Amino acid sequence: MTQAGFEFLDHTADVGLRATGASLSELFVHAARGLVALLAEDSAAAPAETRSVTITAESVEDLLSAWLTDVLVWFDAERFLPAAFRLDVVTDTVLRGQVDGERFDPERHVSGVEVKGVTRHQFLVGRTPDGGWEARIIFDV
Amino acid sequence: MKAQPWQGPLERLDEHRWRIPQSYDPGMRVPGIVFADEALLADIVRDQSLQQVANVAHLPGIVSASLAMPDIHWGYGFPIGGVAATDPVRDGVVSPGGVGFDINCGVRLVRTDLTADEVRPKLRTLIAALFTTVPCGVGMHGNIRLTEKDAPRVMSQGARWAVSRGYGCEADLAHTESRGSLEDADPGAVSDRAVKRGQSQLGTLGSGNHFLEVQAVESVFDEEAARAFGIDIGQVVVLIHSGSRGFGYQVCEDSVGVMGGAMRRYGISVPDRQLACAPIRSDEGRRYLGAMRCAANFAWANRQCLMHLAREVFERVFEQGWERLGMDLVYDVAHNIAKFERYRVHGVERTLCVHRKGATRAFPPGHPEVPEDYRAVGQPVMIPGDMGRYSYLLAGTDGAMEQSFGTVCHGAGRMMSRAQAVREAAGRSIEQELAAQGIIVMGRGRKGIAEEQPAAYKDVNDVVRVVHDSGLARKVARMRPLGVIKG
Repeated sequence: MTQAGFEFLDHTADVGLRATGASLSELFVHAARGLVALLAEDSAAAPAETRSVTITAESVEDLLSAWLTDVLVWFDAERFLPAAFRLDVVTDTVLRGQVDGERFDPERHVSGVEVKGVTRHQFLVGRTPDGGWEARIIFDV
Repeated sequence: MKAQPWQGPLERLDEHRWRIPQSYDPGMRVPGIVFADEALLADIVRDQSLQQVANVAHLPGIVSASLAMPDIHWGYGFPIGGVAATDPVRDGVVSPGGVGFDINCGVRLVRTDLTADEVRPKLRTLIAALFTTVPCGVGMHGNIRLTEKDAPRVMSQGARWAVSRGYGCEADLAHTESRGSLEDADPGAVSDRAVKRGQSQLGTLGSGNHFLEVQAVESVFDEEAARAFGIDIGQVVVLIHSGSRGFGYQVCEDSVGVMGGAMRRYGISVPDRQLACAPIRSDEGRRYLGAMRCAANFAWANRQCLMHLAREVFERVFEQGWERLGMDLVYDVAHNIAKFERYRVHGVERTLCVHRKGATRAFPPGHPEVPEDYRAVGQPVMIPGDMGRYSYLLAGTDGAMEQSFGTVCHGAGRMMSRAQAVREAAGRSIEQELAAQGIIVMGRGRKGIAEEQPAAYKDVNDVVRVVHDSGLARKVARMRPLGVIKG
């Protein structure tokens, strides 16, 4: 695992992502950064605006997929490119936090690949032997 | 994540068909059938696509077999290249995973009266003009903004809405699968979020494997069908590959959670969460189908708008109206969709829900859904290859009605992962390599062209040979790329 807390995994047509974190909050942040790296590669985004987010779900898997879908939809519908994540509370089924970022500008930012969705194929959230967390997500691109 | 090679049984039925017996897994309700030759199969067994063929065979109400086309590869839930027909009266299910996120992703072929020799001197100007006019790539919005009033019209009317706004003509609709509009679309079943994602994306190409390609016809295999389709050697054509954009992606996303709950209620279990499904006749099933049809219609409106933009560019570059340039629509066909169609199974006519996930409808001569002017030769089927080699135009035959629920392959099929393709391209310029072959490629993303390089795909010749030789469709013409724009 790289310092970034995420790495991409080979998949024939789509893109797999493995994320880790010492806590669930960190895992969710790293997974979101992985998604942003797919969408806009290493674009430097400014924290020009802040969004608040609250999600409740039935399981930690559903919570992670709903969180990543939110990040994806902000980008897809409103071109919101996140710069920094502050997830204040993450339990197995509740997430609250704030995300700073700015509008994606094709002139200043790097176009990555369009992510169509967060698939549930081989979706995994679990503990690591050292007491941390890991997740595996396959994105449809 | 390493792909696990197929360890299960595979029985050879004939030269081009292989069976995964039902006995492989007690949950399978039908066998799996794969259309491939030995060489293609050697690649297919290397990833998890055959396991996915077996998984699809678990779906309640599945009829005959879980089918795989020769371009099959590892997807999510269904394999890409997977086909499944389910029977509504036998508790058959509809599975959003059998359609995918990009609902009604498909291809559209436009002919011209221009020859490759006429286009070549202006090729760079043409491709550059297409690249700046047709919004493509991540975060690019289109100029056609969907108002609150227009959104439900696009959802229920599809390509007809685009034509009513002046983007094309009535004749375009006659040459579009289902006339570019599915009935029984239910805008009430579509979330606000889906509408929001689609609002600025009509008339945009997207990224990944979506493209707009200018091609030259280099071979004609079936003179009669080619004549009917308006195709001749040396002629320039335009092939457009795109789908329902963020609108359709969100319709799929919204359905997966709902289907998870429905499965618990109806006591259905499937081996992969992305195969989540509900009985066709349940509220959840009906609601998904109503929303899916809205997304399919959005996609047809999108490709109609994209063709309109391409026609405008040709008008500017060649200084003639598109009608004078002969830019008629040959055909538009979906390759990610679920539709109700009639088939004879064990001697009985039944209406089945045919899921095509990376697979193309191919109806035979005489079928009432084939446009009248093509009815003697069969439905046109476009099979894009890769941006360095070929694409094909085929025609539907009775063979597909008998063997594959009127379905054939949809492309060459990926062979390399995106990451591997980028590694292979390190230190090289795919653009320059293609330019040396006379092909101009313009892409928005930094990695997109490397990911989509020709070597990342199987040779479409091999895929089409299996389709032709097994009688699923017949070859009509082969096109070579001249220029491509990518997201």
